[in-house]
Amino acid sequence: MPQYTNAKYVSGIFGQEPSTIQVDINGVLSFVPMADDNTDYQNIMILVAEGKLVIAPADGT
Amino acid sequence: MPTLPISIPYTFAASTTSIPLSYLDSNFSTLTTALNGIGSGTTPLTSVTITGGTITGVSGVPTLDANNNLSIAGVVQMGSSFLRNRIINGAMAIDQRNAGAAQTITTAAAAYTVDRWLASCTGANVTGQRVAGSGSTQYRYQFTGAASVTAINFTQRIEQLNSYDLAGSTITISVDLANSLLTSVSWALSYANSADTFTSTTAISSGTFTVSSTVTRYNVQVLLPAAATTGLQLQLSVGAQTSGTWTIGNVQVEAGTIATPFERRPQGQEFLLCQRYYEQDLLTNGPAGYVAFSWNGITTNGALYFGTRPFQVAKRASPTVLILNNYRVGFNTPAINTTSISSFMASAIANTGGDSAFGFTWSASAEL
Repeated sequence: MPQYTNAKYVSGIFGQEPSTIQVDINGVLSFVPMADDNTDYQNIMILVAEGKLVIAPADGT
Repeated sequence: MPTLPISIPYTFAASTTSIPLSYLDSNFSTLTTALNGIGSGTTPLTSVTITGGTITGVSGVPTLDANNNLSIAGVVQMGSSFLRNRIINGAMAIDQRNAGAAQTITTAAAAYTVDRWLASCTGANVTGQRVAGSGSTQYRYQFTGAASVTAINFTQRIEQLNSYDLAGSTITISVDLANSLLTSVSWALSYANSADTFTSTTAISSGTFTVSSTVTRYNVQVLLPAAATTGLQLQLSVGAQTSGTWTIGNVQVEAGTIATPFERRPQGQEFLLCQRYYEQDLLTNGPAGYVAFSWNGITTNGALYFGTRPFQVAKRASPTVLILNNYRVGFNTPAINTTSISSFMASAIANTGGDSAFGFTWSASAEL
């Protein structure tokens, strides 16, 4: 599994609920869609469930 | 019905007594029955050699000429399809991420190498690289070992949509392998525990190929369980590759029990197949001018500006988008706000106002 660090939600451009997570994947700025069929999202959810990763709120929330 | 060779019941040569004519009838009857059986197909011919000449007046039989060219009047109905290789980029030719450059595989995290192939290692980092092949094979993939390495894995995951039909049937795995240090390469086949989710898998079968330093083609047949409908994972592995090289090429997974020759798809077609899972745009315009995605205009300080970018090929799933390098004049760091299988939307907040721009190079991954 890649390394996921510095995770936070990203709001929609019109202030909608976040549909993306900003996270560094192996140190590279990345944006993971909150989609069940996305492998990175699956991995992130496992890490969150195991208490190994916390996703910060979106900026301005 | 008699079987071949035919055995005649009675012999007449060297006879010293009178023989009933019914014996002669019995001999003729045996021959007649056998010949009629051959004509009707009820007496099986197990091996027929035809030297010269041609077969004529027979329908439903293909012809094979002296140059081994096969001709058939109708269509060929196969148990599999012509596009039979379920592995994508089995020839290792597509290398979007590294363009043939060497890549360090670290023990910390698995990494994609040539397109669709995931590498990992334990014990110590290793180097992987697309290398020149030999003969009619242009490329292969090669790992270079290092001290303290305890294992290297090279994996491809086949999505559910491309493997569902294989469940409950026998498949054949073929691969070119060589190793300058080790004499065995392990293979393992498993299926995802839920559709296209390989965070946990169920083992199907595994084994070992005995290899040498000479590239040799190997194959193995595997009966898939009926439950293997959720996507397949093929993993090739070696142990303590503490030096030397491990070479892999022309990987094929196909329906059926026969290892057919490696299927070479056109490069354009193979590239599109790869882009279903990974795509990148590295366009730059001068030093630090990362403009693969770019926005330019007159801005108001503090306002949000955005744009969308379609993908070349629709993705398997909404992909993860990486901002590889970015370029900003009067903007904060850009972000990806939303992604679909066909495009992404990026935005940035102006931090000065006036003539401003932002851009970045990016990749999108929907790998399994």
